[in-house]
Amino acid sequence: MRKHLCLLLLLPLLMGFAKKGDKFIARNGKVSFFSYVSAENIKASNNQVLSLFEPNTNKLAVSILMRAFQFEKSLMQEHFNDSYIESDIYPKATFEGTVLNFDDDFSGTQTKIIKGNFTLRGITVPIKMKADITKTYKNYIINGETDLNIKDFKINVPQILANRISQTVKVSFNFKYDRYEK
Amino acid sequence: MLIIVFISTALFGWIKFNETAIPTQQLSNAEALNETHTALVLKKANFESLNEFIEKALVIEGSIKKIDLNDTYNIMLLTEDKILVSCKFQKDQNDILKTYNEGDKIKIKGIYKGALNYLILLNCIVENN
Repeated sequence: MRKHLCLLLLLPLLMGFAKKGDKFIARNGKVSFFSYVSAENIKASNNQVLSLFEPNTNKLAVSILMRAFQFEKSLMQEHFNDSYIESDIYPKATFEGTVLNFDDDFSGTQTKIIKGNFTLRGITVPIKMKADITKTYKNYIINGETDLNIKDFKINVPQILANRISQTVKVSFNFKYDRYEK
Repeated sequence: MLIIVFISTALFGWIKFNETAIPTQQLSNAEALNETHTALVLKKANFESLNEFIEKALVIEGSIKKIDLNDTYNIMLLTEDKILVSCKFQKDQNDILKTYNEGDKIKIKGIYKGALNYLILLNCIVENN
Protein backbone atom coordinates (compact mmCIF):
# COMPACT_ATOMS: atom_id res chain seq x y z
CA MET A 1 0.00 0.00 0.00
CA ARG A 2 2.81 2.38 1.01
CA LYS A 3 4.72 1.47 -2.17
CA HIS A 4 1.69 2.33 -4.31
CA LEU A 5 1.20 5.64 -2.51
CA CYS A 6 4.86 6.63 -3.05
CA LEU A 7 4.60 5.82 -6.74
CA LEU A 8 1.44 7.90 -7.05
CA LEU A 9 3.14 10.89 -5.40
CA LEU A 10 6.21 10.58 -7.62
CA LEU A 11 4.21 10.28 -10.85
CA PRO A 12 3.97 14.06 -11.61
CA LEU A 13 7.74 14.38 -11.18
CA LEU A 14 8.44 11.38 -13.40
CA MET A 15 6.15 12.72 -16.13
CA GLY A 16 7.54 16.26 -15.94
CA PHE A 17 4.99 18.88 -15.02
CA ALA A 18 5.05 20.74 -18.33
CA LYS A 19 3.14 18.85 -20.98
CA LYS A 20 4.01 19.41 -24.64
CA GLY A 21 2.50 22.69 -25.90
CA ASP A 22 2.08 24.20 -22.42
CA LYS A 23 2.25 27.96 -22.25
CA PHE A 24 3.12 29.95 -19.17
CA ILE A 25 1.98 33.49 -18.48
CA ALA A 26 3.18 36.36 -16.31
CA ARG A 27 0.66 39.19 -15.97
CA ASN A 28 2.44 41.32 -13.40
CA GLY A 29 5.98 41.02 -14.65
CA LYS A 30 8.34 43.80 -13.64
CA VAL A 31 10.51 45.88 -15.93
CA SER A 32 12.62 48.71 -14.54
CA PHE A 33 15.02 51.10 -16.17
CA PHE A 34 17.77 53.22 -14.76
CA SER A 35 19.54 56.19 -16.28
CA TYR A 36 22.63 57.35 -14.47
CA VAL A 37 24.44 60.63 -15.08
CA SER A 38 26.35 62.78 -12.60
CA ALA A 39 23.60 65.45 -12.68
CA GLU A 40 20.71 63.10 -11.93
CA ASN A 41 19.60 59.48 -11.61
CA ILE A 42 16.31 58.57 -13.22
CA LYS A 43 14.58 55.39 -12.21
CA ALA A 44 11.19 54.00 -13.22
CA SER A 45 9.43 50.69 -12.93
CA ASN A 46 6.45 48.96 -14.39
CA ASN A 47 4.98 45.86 -12.79
CA GLN A 48 2.11 45.43 -15.17
CA VAL A 49 4.14 43.69 -17.85
CA LEU A 50 2.65 40.76 -19.75
CA SER A 51 4.80 37.88 -20.90
CA LEU A 52 4.27 34.44 -22.39
CA PHE A 53 6.82 31.64 -22.25
CA GLU A 54 6.67 28.31 -24.08
CA PRO A 55 9.27 25.99 -22.55
CA ASN A 56 8.97 23.33 -25.26
CA THR A 57 9.80 25.80 -28.07
CA ASN A 58 11.86 28.22 -25.90
CA LYS A 59 9.84 31.10 -27.30
CA LEU A 60 9.33 34.19 -25.19
CA ALA A 61 7.10 37.21 -25.81
CA VAL A 62 6.75 40.38 -23.75
CA SER A 63 4.31 43.29 -24.01
CA ILE A 64 4.87 46.50 -22.02
CA LEU A 65 2.33 49.29 -21.63
CA MET A 66 4.52 52.40 -21.55
CA ARG A 67 2.09 54.52 -19.51
CA ALA A 68 2.36 51.99 -16.70
CA PHE A 69 5.93 53.08 -15.87
CA GLN A 70 5.93 54.91 -12.56
CA PHE A 71 8.46 57.59 -11.65
CA GLU A 72 9.09 59.24 -8.30
CA LYS A 73 8.33 62.65 -9.80
CA SER A 74 5.14 63.14 -11.80
CA LEU A 75 6.76 65.73 -14.09
CA MET A 76 9.31 63.13 -15.22
CA GLN A 77 6.47 60.70 -15.87
CA GLU A 78 4.71 63.36 -17.96
CA HIS A 79 7.84 64.14 -20.02
CA PHE A 80 8.53 60.43 -20.49
CA ASN A 81 5.05 59.80 -21.94
CA ASP A 82 4.45 63.07 -23.79
CA SER A 83 7.90 63.93 -25.16
CA TYR A 84 10.26 60.94 -25.14
CA ILE A 85 8.11 57.88 -25.80
CA GLU A 86 5.04 59.70 -27.24
CA SER A 87 2.85 57.08 -25.58
CA ASP A 88 -0.30 58.28 -27.37
CA ILE A 89 1.25 57.22 -30.68
CA TYR A 90 3.32 54.29 -29.42
CA PRO A 91 1.47 52.91 -26.37
CA LYS A 92 3.36 49.62 -26.15
CA ALA A 93 6.83 48.17 -26.38
CA THR A 94 7.18 44.51 -27.33
CA PHE A 95 9.79 41.79 -27.37
CA GLU A 96 9.72 38.50 -29.25
CA GLY A 97 12.54 36.07 -28.96
CA THR A 98 13.97 32.74 -27.96
CA VAL A 99 15.85 31.42 -24.98
CA LEU A 100 18.98 29.81 -26.46
CA ASN A 101 19.87 26.27 -25.38
CA PHE A 102 17.30 26.10 -22.61
CA ASP A 103 17.07 22.66 -20.98
CA ASP A 104 13.52 22.17 -19.72
CA ASP A 105 14.42 18.85 -18.10
CA PHE A 106 16.65 20.65 -15.61
CA SER A 107 14.97 21.83 -12.38
CA GLY A 108 16.74 24.79 -10.84
CA THR A 109 18.40 27.89 -12.23
CA GLN A 110 20.11 28.14 -15.60
CA THR A 111 21.86 31.22 -16.97
CA LYS A 112 21.05 31.56 -20.65
CA ILE A 113 21.05 34.10 -23.47
CA ILE A 114 17.73 35.39 -24.75
CA LYS A 115 17.87 36.65 -28.30
CA GLY A 116 15.15 38.47 -30.16
CA ASN A 117 13.63 41.70 -31.44
CA PHE A 118 12.64 44.60 -29.24
CA THR A 119 10.20 47.16 -30.64
CA LEU A 120 9.80 50.61 -29.14
CA ARG A 121 8.29 53.68 -30.83
CA GLY A 122 7.67 51.57 -33.93
CA ILE A 123 11.39 50.81 -34.29
CA THR A 124 12.59 47.19 -34.05
CA VAL A 125 16.10 46.46 -32.86
CA PRO A 126 17.68 43.01 -32.39
CA ILE A 127 18.92 42.49 -28.83
CA LYS A 128 20.60 39.81 -26.75
CA MET A 129 20.40 39.61 -22.99
CA LYS A 130 21.62 37.34 -20.24
CA ALA A 131 18.95 35.92 -17.97
CA ASP A 132 18.56 33.49 -15.10
CA ILE A 133 15.74 31.03 -15.69
CA THR A 134 14.50 29.13 -12.67
CA LYS A 135 12.17 26.18 -13.00
CA THR A 136 10.27 25.32 -9.84
CA TYR A 137 7.69 22.62 -9.27
CA LYS A 138 4.84 24.68 -10.66
CA ASN A 139 6.23 27.75 -12.40
CA TYR A 140 9.13 29.53 -14.06
CA ILE A 141 10.94 32.69 -13.04
CA ILE A 142 13.01 34.67 -15.54
CA ASN A 143 15.11 37.63 -14.53
CA GLY A 144 17.94 39.51 -16.15
CA GLU A 145 19.07 42.81 -17.51
CA THR A 146 20.33 44.52 -20.63
CA ASP A 147 21.43 47.95 -21.85
CA LEU A 148 19.49 49.91 -24.44
CA ASN A 149 20.71 52.95 -26.41
CA ILE A 150 18.05 55.62 -26.59
CA LYS A 151 19.38 56.80 -29.97
CA ASP A 152 18.45 53.41 -31.51
CA PHE A 153 14.79 54.30 -30.92
CA LYS A 154 15.06 57.93 -32.11
CA ILE A 155 14.23 59.26 -28.67
CA ASN A 156 14.95 62.98 -28.91
CA VAL A 157 16.30 64.54 -25.78
CA PRO A 158 16.26 68.37 -25.83
CA GLN A 159 19.76 69.84 -25.64
CA ILE A 160 18.96 71.55 -22.35
CA LEU A 161 18.27 68.16 -20.76
CA ALA A 162 21.07 66.24 -22.51
CA ASN A 163 23.24 66.14 -19.37
CA ARG A 164 20.33 64.77 -17.29
CA ILE A 165 19.62 61.64 -19.32
CA SER A 166 22.09 58.89 -20.11
CA GLN A 167 22.46 57.71 -23.72
CA THR A 168 22.50 54.14 -22.42
CA VAL A 169 19.76 53.00 -20.11
CA LYS A 170 20.02 49.86 -17.97
CA VAL A 171 16.86 47.75 -18.19
CA SER A 172 16.15 44.94 -15.75
CA PHE A 173 13.27 42.48 -15.79
CA ASN A 174 11.68 39.90 -13.52
CA PHE A 175 8.84 37.63 -14.64
CA LYS A 176 7.13 34.95 -12.60
CA TYR A 177 5.13 32.62 -14.85
CA ASP A 178 2.16 30.44 -14.02
CA ARG A 179 0.53 27.93 -16.29
CA TYR A 180 -1.68 29.69 -18.83
CA GLU A 181 -5.29 28.66 -18.33
CA LYS A 182 -7.74 30.19 -20.81
CA MET B 1 10.73 93.61 -7.81
CA LEU B 2 12.64 91.60 -10.41
CA ILE B 3 14.33 89.61 -7.66
CA ILE B 4 10.96 88.69 -6.17
CA VAL B 5 9.69 87.52 -9.58
CA PHE B 6 12.85 85.51 -10.13
CA ILE B 7 12.70 83.83 -6.71
CA SER B 8 8.97 83.07 -7.13
CA THR B 9 9.56 81.52 -10.55
CA ALA B 10 12.47 79.45 -9.28
CA LEU B 11 10.44 78.29 -6.27
CA PHE B 12 7.47 77.39 -8.47
CA GLY B 13 9.76 75.47 -10.81
CA TRP B 14 11.35 73.56 -7.92
CA ILE B 15 7.94 72.64 -6.46
CA LYS B 16 6.62 71.58 -9.87
CA PHE B 17 9.73 69.49 -10.57
CA ASN B 18 9.47 67.64 -7.27
CA GLU B 19 5.73 67.05 -7.39
CA THR B 20 4.58 63.47 -6.89
CA ALA B 21 1.36 61.95 -8.20
CA ILE B 22 -1.87 63.31 -6.71
CA PRO B 23 -3.38 60.67 -4.38
CA THR B 24 -6.46 59.11 -6.00
CA GLN B 25 -8.55 60.01 -2.93
CA GLN B 26 -8.24 63.66 -3.97
CA LEU B 27 -9.70 63.06 -7.42
CA SER B 28 -13.37 63.93 -7.25
CA ASN B 29 -14.45 62.89 -10.77
CA ALA B 30 -14.44 59.24 -11.70
CA GLU B 31 -16.02 57.35 -14.57
CA ALA B 32 -17.56 53.91 -14.54
CA LEU B 33 -17.64 51.62 -17.53
CA ASN B 34 -21.13 51.48 -18.99
CA GLU B 35 -22.77 48.69 -20.97
CA THR B 36 -21.74 50.21 -24.31
CA HIS B 37 -18.08 50.21 -23.32
CA THR B 38 -18.06 46.66 -22.00
CA ALA B 39 -20.00 45.40 -25.03
CA LEU B 40 -17.49 47.01 -27.39
CA VAL B 41 -14.56 45.57 -25.44
CA LEU B 42 -16.00 42.06 -25.37
CA LYS B 43 -17.25 42.10 -28.96
CA LYS B 44 -14.09 43.45 -30.56
CA ALA B 45 -11.78 41.80 -28.04
CA ASN B 46 -9.70 44.96 -27.98
CA PHE B 47 -9.64 47.85 -25.63
CA GLU B 48 -9.30 50.82 -27.97
CA SER B 49 -12.87 51.82 -27.22
CA LEU B 50 -11.65 52.74 -23.73
CA ASN B 51 -8.93 55.12 -24.92
CA GLU B 52 -11.05 58.12 -23.88
CA PHE B 53 -10.48 57.08 -20.26
CA ILE B 54 -6.67 57.00 -20.38
CA GLU B 55 -5.20 59.02 -17.49
CA LYS B 56 -8.67 59.40 -15.98
CA ALA B 57 -10.06 57.89 -12.79
CA LEU B 58 -12.20 54.78 -13.31
CA VAL B 59 -14.38 52.99 -10.78
CA ILE B 60 -14.56 49.24 -11.33
CA GLU B 61 -16.21 46.41 -9.40
CA GLY B 62 -15.34 42.77 -9.59
CA SER B 63 -14.22 39.67 -7.78
CA ILE B 64 -10.61 39.15 -6.78
CA LYS B 65 -8.76 36.53 -8.82
CA LYS B 66 -5.27 37.09 -7.50
CA ILE B 67 -3.60 39.16 -4.78
CA ASP B 68 0.11 39.98 -4.78
CA LEU B 69 1.97 42.02 -2.19
CA ASN B 70 5.35 43.51 -2.98
CA ASP B 71 5.68 46.72 -0.95
CA THR B 72 2.20 47.63 -2.31
CA TYR B 73 -0.71 45.43 -3.30
CA ASN B 74 -1.53 44.40 -6.84
CA ILE B 75 -4.89 42.76 -7.47
CA MET B 76 -6.25 41.02 -10.55
CA LEU B 77 -10.02 41.20 -10.57
CA LEU B 78 -12.68 39.92 -12.92
CA THR B 79 -15.74 42.07 -13.59
CA GLU B 80 -19.22 40.61 -13.99
CA ASP B 81 -18.79 41.08 -17.74
CA LYS B 82 -15.66 38.90 -17.59
CA ILE B 83 -13.19 41.71 -18.19
CA LEU B 84 -9.86 41.15 -16.42
CA VAL B 85 -8.45 44.17 -14.61
CA SER B 86 -5.08 44.65 -12.93
CA CYS B 87 -4.88 47.31 -10.19
CA LYS B 88 -1.73 48.49 -8.48
CA PHE B 89 -2.73 50.10 -5.21
CA GLN B 90 -1.35 53.09 -3.36
CA LYS B 91 0.76 52.23 -0.33
CA ASP B 92 -1.79 53.80 2.03
CA GLN B 93 -4.24 51.04 1.07
CA ASN B 94 -2.07 48.21 2.49
CA ASP B 95 -3.90 47.97 5.81
CA ILE B 96 -7.32 47.94 4.12
CA LEU B 97 -6.31 45.26 1.61
CA LYS B 98 -4.97 42.91 4.29
CA THR B 99 -8.59 41.97 4.99
CA TYR B 100 -9.36 40.90 1.40
CA ASN B 101 -9.01 37.39 -0.03
CA GLU B 102 -9.29 35.73 -3.43
CA GLY B 103 -12.94 35.41 -4.40
CA ASP B 104 -14.03 38.54 -2.45
CA LYS B 105 -15.95 41.26 -4.23
CA ILE B 106 -14.22 44.63 -4.34
CA LYS B 107 -14.89 48.10 -5.71
CA ILE B 108 -11.85 50.13 -6.68
CA LYS B 109 -10.98 53.51 -8.09
CA GLY B 110 -7.77 53.96 -10.02
CA ILE B 111 -6.13 55.82 -12.90
CA TYR B 112 -6.66 53.99 -16.18
CA LYS B 113 -3.40 53.66 -18.13
CA GLY B 114 -4.44 51.43 -21.00
CA ALA B 115 -4.63 47.71 -21.63
CA LEU B 116 -2.66 44.67 -22.71
CA ASN B 117 -5.04 41.70 -22.61
CA TYR B 118 -6.49 43.16 -19.40
CA LEU B 119 -7.18 46.70 -18.20
CA ILE B 120 -4.39 48.33 -16.22
CA LEU B 121 -5.06 50.81 -13.44
CA LEU B 122 -2.49 52.43 -11.17
CA ASN B 123 -2.72 54.42 -7.93
CA CYS B 124 -5.78 52.38 -6.98
CA ILE B 125 -7.78 52.79 -3.78
CA VAL B 126 -10.57 50.72 -2.31
CA GLU B 127 -13.79 52.57 -2.96
CA ASN B 128 -16.36 52.41 -0.20
CA ASN B 129 -19.97 51.83 -1.31
